[in-house]
Amino acid sequence: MRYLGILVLGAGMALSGWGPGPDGFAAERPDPGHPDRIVREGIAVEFSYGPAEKKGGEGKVREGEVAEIRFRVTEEATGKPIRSLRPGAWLDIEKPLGRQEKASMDCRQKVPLYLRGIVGIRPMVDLNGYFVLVMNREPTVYVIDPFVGITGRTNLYASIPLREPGTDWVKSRDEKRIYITQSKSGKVAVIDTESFTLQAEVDAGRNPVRLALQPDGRFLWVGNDGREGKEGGVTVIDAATLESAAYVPTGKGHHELAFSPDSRFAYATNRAGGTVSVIDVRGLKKVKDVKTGPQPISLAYPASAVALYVADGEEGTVSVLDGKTHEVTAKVRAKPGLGPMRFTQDGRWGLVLNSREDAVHILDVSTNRIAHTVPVGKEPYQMAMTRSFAHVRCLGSERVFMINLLELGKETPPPVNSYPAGSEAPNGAPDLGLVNGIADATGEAEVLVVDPVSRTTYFYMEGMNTPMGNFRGYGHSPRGVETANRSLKETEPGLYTGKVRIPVAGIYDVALFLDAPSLIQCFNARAEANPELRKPGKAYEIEYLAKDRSFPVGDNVVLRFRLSDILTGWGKEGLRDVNVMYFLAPGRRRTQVLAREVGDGVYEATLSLKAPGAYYVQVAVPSMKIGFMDLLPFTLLARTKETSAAPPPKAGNEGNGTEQEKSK
Amino acid sequence: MTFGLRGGRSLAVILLLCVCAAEAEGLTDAEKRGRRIYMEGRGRKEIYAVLSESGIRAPGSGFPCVNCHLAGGAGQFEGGVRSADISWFNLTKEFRGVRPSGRAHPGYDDESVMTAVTNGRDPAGNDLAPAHPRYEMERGDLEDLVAYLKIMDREPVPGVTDNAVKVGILLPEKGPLAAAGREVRDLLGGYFAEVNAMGGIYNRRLDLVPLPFDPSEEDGPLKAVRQAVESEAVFCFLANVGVGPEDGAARYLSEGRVPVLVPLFSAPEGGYGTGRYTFHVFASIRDQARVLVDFLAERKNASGIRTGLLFAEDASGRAGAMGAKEQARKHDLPIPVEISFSPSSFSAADVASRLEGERVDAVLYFGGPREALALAQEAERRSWRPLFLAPAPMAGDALMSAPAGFLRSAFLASPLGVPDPSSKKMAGFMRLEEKYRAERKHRAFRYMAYSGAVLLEEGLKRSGRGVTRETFVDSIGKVWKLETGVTPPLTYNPNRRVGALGAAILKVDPDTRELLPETGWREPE
Repeated sequence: MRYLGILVLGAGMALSGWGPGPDGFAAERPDPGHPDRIVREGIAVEFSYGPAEKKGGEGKVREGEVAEIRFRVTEEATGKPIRSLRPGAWLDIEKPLGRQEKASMDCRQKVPLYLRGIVGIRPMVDLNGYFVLVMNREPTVYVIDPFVGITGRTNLYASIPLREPGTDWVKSRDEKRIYITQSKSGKVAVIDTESFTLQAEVDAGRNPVRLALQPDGRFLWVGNDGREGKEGGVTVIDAATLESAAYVPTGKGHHELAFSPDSRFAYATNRAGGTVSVIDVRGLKKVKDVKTGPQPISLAYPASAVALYVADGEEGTVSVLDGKTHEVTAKVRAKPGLGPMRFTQDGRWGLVLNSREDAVHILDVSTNRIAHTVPVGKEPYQMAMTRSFAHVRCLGSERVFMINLLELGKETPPPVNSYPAGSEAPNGAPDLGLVNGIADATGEAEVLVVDPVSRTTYFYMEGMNTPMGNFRGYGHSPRGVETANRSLKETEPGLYTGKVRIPVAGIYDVALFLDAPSLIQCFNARAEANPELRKPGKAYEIEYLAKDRSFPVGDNVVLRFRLSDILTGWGKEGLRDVNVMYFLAPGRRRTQVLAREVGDGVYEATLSLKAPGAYYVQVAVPSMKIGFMDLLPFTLLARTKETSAAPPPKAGNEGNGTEQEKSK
Repeated sequence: MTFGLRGGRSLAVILLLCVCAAEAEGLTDAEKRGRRIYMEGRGRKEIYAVLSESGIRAPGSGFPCVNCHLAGGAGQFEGGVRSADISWFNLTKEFRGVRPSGRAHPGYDDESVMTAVTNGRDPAGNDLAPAHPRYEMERGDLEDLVAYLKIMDREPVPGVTDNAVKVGILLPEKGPLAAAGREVRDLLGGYFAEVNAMGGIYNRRLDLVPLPFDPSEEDGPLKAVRQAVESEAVFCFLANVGVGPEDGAARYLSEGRVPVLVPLFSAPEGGYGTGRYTFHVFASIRDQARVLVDFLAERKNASGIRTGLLFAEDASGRAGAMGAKEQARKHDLPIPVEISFSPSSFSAADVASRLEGERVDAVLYFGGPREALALAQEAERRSWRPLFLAPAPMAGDALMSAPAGFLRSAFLASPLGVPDPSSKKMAGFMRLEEKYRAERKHRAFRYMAYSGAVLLEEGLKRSGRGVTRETFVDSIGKVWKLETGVTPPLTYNPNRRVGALGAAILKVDPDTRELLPETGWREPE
């Protein structure tokens, strides 16, 4: 956060000549009688907010808790709701409670900067972007705020515990929910993406694996894989009621799922049975099994062709099933080793991964011919697609291969580039599962890639040579990645709402942006301090900035550490009574010294390590009611000079200082 | 309860039979009337649309359903408003939760659809989006509309069958263009045969349907076209030969919303947006004039040049003058002298004397070849050497025999770029010519027809198997820089129906009389 502050300040100075209403967006003054209501060009906007988790919006918003932000947009004359708007909203702190300084820039001046996406100028809460969801090999889903992550701050927004590790997941149409299969227990977990909590668990039959939502959002389909060659089928769940609507037996083996675009038919492969089952959605009945080859491995329905495409891994063919008759009308020959298949957004081109050939076949849907086969890395196994590129993940390569989709249809094969996502190939990690470890973010040209080996998720933007940022696994092993839209949603006609966890107590600027009529308006919201979080000793955290922990005995060691607000990450400045106590284990040579302030919440103390052994270091700040037991301790080792083959004295300290300067 | 395999089969067979029967039968009278309401907003009685947002009450013809819900009823996202999928299958779906429309309601039936149309409410009583008009419509018309909605997404597309797309071409049986027409027909026949040999497009072959007409007969083309369209024998037209833009056939096709690709040597005049269904390849005279003015404005001493505009009092001449003036304004280039002439009473001596008297040193010329040659000879006689700029299609032939001195300062705008013989697409064209041609006398015709065929193939590929005339026109309207090999890359958009909107500037070599490029092919600024 401190870096962000510096950048915002810098930008503020550079743009200090700006008057109100930059970019031609003028704003109306709020009505003094109703400061939260404004009228412009016949349209009224009413702002309100309250705690999201209490009924009726009673009570006050507190830091660390989820608040609901509401904008009601109506016609001033008639009071009729105005629907289908796409408002943008941002929250930034105007003044933290208990602090003197104010934000460096007027709220309305900041919005155009947010809209332009100037690097480093981000609001505290952006209600227009997305959250990154990471499915771990452990039974948790992590929710990460990517924008804060890039600025270097702690970015784990929430952690959702599951009953068991998830197998596959899918979002609801409105992205308010995410459904996760839990194969062992036979359940689908339903996660609410506003509060990021487990909302329900639904029975989904035996061994539920693949999960898909039909295009109109009505039914959730779960593939129940028959174990050891036994018959399986699909469980159909009504997405509105979360009740099981039907179980349809389909055939043997693993099931991949697809639908006709009008949600008239659902299709399930039976991998061990060599067939695709066609299910009439209206009656939830199987109407047909179609033989497509010995090992139907993936399927997709490009709307352009009005046909279902089924790839066969063993035979190396793609069967084309007419969308009305469900007869095989064509069979495209590729090569054995086919895997996942996806179609471009316009449905013109199909891309089929071939793990045996280390290549991607590009299928021209209009002619049902393989137009190109392009080489990628070893064993391609997963794929994400943006408007312009297919991003191909390979088991045997740390690089992600990008196929330029805009160059398809030319005489020459499309160019293929690559970028690294980690330093080792994914096949170095165990239990990769079938969840997609690569996903297009909701933006046009952004991709998220899981590196299961280094337990990191990378954020890549098209056009760059390397990923722009990454999120660590926080000790867990990421397997799948998804995004959850966090923009304002129209929850009833004309009412646009969003939920947000309030980072810290303070007076907030809530900026609203509307396209038509063009409007930037700022409102104020207040978040109170949360005594639960403000218990003595609980409000601040310590980060020790030492790189080395081992020093020759007899040296004076300068130890630096940073004290920061647990909610905002802001350094706590101006403390005059930071006490550092250290002692030799198990409790001898107890010494207490006062630390000096370095700046931005960083303090330093000189420790004298006179005897060899392990030292414990503890910090207390009486004025903040922080006792020695409240903050994490630190350990140091003083070793005898005879046994020392270590670098010269103080090298570690200098390194620390340099490191600190760099990170500033 | 599960459904046995045998039952599944028989159901599929029944479904198949139903689909085929529906497609084979064509529309009932009620469905046809309903279609007219959907497409044109016209019923047996007056229809009015009331816009709830503004309270405006307007004739229904201004707000036909198709404008927002599109042919087939799938809807679209436009201007921030999502128009609903109103295919009958979707309307009557059962659905417990919130539908993609954002509202929750039971499935529609005949009555509730009528209520939605007239009162703007869904079956649960929710208001439809305020952008949706409320229609005042008689019961009979409502019933017709519902009858059509029920079959709308299965409506047969004229000229498209399960396994073929039929493409018409108007060809004069006799007269000066008959031979050119035969060359074009042979070339296109070859192109289609190649496409079909590769399996066609979305499992459909391309069929060329020649529609011969007698050019000496009044309304010859119109008769041929009307017969083909009314019998639903063709989907679209490609490379019609010898049918001008003012011909009744062209008007008939435009009004009937029948796509026409690359009508040969029918000038794309008439401005933007006038012919949504007709796609040209080469720039109009007006746009060629704009390129000529750009070229003039870039000359070193442009500000000191005194420009005169000389144009024939006919459609092409006026279009050229209009383009020249429009572009001159953009460059702040004055045109102090403007002379128009009637082709029948042109006096080169008078015109030259006037232009020279006015101290004109650049002439923008938009007239026929005869007058251009006469002016060139008169200028030579007077030893007057102005810059002479004209579109090659209008004056090009004349300059081949103009005096050498005049040619040194004469420039022609040519809408055809110079094809690159080394390109793969061009090689494809040559190969096709080798394989299928009978004669090769009308190169420009064949180039244009070939580019039209490339455009047709691209449009069909982009439209998908569910192609309709509307989706086809939309798809071609989004083509960007399509390489044909024989023309500059083609680009279209909703306001642009000329694919290669630009020209190259050429010079005639005074010694060899060959055309030499002075600039590359370029779009007007």
